[in-house]
Amino acid sequence: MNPNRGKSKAPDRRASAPLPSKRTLEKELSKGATGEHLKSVFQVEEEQDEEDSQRLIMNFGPQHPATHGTLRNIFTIEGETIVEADVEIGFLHTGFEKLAEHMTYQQWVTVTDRMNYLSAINNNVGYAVAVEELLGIEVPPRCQALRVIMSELSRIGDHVLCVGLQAMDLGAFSVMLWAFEKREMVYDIIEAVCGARLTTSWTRVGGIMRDVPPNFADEVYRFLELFPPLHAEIHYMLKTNRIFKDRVQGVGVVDTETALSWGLSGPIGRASGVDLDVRRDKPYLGYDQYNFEVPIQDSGDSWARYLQRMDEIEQSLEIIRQAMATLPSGPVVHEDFKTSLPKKQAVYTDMESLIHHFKLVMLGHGIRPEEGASIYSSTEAPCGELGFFVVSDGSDTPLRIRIRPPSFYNYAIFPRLVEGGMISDSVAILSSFHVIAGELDR
Amino acid sequence: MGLESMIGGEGFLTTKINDLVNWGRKNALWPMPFGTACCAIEMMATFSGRYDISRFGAEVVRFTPRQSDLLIVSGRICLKMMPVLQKIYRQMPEPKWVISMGACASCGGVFDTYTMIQGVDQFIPVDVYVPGCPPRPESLLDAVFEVQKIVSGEKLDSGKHGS
Amino acid sequence: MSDDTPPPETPPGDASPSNQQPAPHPVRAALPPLIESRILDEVTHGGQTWFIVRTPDQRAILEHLRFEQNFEFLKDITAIDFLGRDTIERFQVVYVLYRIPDKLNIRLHAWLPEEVESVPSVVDLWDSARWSERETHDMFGIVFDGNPDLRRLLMPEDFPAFPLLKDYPLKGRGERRQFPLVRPRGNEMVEDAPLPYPVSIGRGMHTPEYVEEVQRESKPRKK
Repeated sequence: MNPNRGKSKAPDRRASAPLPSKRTLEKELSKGATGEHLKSVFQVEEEQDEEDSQRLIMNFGPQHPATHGTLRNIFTIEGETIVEADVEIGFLHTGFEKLAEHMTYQQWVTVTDRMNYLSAINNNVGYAVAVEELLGIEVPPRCQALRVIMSELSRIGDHVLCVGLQAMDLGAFSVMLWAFEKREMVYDIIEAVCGARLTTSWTRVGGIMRDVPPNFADEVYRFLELFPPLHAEIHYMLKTNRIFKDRVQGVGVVDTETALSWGLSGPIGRASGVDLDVRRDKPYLGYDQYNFEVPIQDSGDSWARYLQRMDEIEQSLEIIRQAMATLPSGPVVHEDFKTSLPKKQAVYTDMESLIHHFKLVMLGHGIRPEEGASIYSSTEAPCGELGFFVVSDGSDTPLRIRIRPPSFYNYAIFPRLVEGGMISDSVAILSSFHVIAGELDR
Repeated sequence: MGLESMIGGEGFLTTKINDLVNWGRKNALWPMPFGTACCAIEMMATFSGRYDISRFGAEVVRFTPRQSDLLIVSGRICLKMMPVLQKIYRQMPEPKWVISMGACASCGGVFDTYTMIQGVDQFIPVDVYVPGCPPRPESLLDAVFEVQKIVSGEKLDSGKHGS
Repeated sequence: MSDDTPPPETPPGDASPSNQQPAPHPVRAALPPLIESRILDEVTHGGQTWFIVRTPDQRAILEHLRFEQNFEFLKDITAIDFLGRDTIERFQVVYVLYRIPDKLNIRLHAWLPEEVESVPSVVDLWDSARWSERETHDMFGIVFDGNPDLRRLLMPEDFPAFPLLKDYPLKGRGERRQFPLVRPRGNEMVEDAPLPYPVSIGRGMHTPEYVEEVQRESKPRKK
């Protein structure tokens, strides 16, 4: 291995570069280096002039009420204007991808919850869709419809919370409390179906954990009745609010070319005019049977991102209505029990089900895709396009799982956007981007 | 700690003052949320309307460590975040209590990997652990009650952490 | 198609019986022959196609795809480590591209030997490559030549290893224990050695060295 492997060849551009060590300094001095030569050797910046002495390096995070998650922004400010911005992430890096190499495909579903923890079901569904594409199996229609309904509910919860936190950062604290109450309504349904409020681990490769309880339809219809007036209330509170509009309009503008080049997707991309929606372009789970629009804005500022989320909530409600109206009956797991567990009653009485159960539960047997097969499958998460790149080596643990996190690509453009603006604008931009650190850092 | 050392002893007056001070402290805990991941969302839900934590006095949620006395570590702590947590812990003035919320903060949780700290209690002292992944808001409220019980058992003159 | 013979003179898409392959992929068909000859293999699975090349040929292909074939959206750059498996090289750098008008997803896998110094960067083609290359560098140690800001992204700056390599253990090499115990004593905060913690070994989550270390460190149970 090359000993210099991994050593960065780029000059150190951090706001506070580490000073050269005493030994290197002595070595250079003994070679007869003078002050000027030393400066060029260690790339020390020139003494700052009088004018530059107004510059201050301000650290914003990682523990700060206005950062969504653990992000660290390092701003060089001059008065109130940001001259240079740099970000540091990785304060929540957990090693999901490394864990995947030691867990089986079914076991890793629990880990996917913890990525975008506001909408755990979307992550579960995204991963299950990826592995099912890798195996080449198709889940029954009832399972698809249920997955769609729960994903859209979870998406509503996420967008509602995004908007609430955006409002809270800009001062409208009551909107956040209302948003949390709406989210509790979504939690009630999710808890009744999946058993847990937040980290659900609901899908399995080949199906879902279990069928919905008998009062599911009543609960969902009640939600569909109660939700729109509350949604209208929040929308009315913010869209006619002079203070909110002045703070977010024209702030953090991203045009379509830039958005495409930087890989923005999801509500943030669509607010900038990038017309991408995985549900419409590459339908999965039967999304092509539902009639929904994909809203798109073209101004690309924080106001557009807010409007985009509100529009998407309405479209999600529409999809839930259609899916509930056409909910088929039938099994909820893939019938070939090579991937999902058979029913307990069958396991106790039928020999073949017992063998399937044994093989799926005992380590070493389980789900084993073809060797050398790999797939990149994407689904539409509330933050953007969530992609899973799964590579299999023929055994029951994957060789590599790569998560393409939408927040990662959405956040990369943030330093460019805040340069030249004011500090309070950076808060408005960051809250409209709504990066989720669990997904950013994995 | 001037007042207590002046009065001294275990007389009637000091126990009454003890009770008064502890009553005041436990019913007005100022939490400092150190929320990183999923548990932070449940913590926010606890602070919100349905599972209101301000019923029990812990209303003033200040994000500055200098003004708070209850540190709620919620969420997974990784290598880069641990020095930040220790710095925040040092910045809090005495007396202070720490709730380690969730499985990841208490023991590493689901993630036994190269970056995850397997329990913050190895590196800062913790008073109450809340199991769950994430714990329900009611569990966090229960943890706040436990902290209140701990607070009501404090003695002024011996100091919280002994000598 | 083997890569040591030049491609046949027949135009692409020719369905003559001498052609054993079906009609080539439209993206490959539109590549100029000089670039197209560098493709080692084209694999299809689950409705997706990917092309396999060697480093540094992928730079020319990616330039062509970006400018001539209009693949404006780079979805992801990542890498795979094949240590211990019988493959031609150790690493594969993977590029996932997307074309919006006809919704076409393709991938490019570039074999990367261990000894090669650096991989050409594609930051000038797509800006989304900046952070993906930084992260691939952080996780695997692959140097991207031309990335203006190649520092560690997710791990601390002074982390001594590259985590996603196969010879790095899941539980690390003790970096997660190197913090002091901060506790108050009297009027000040003091730092002590950290408390020991119980260690459990999960299935497949250890290397032999780690097992020995655990057995050395664990205390005997009290009766």
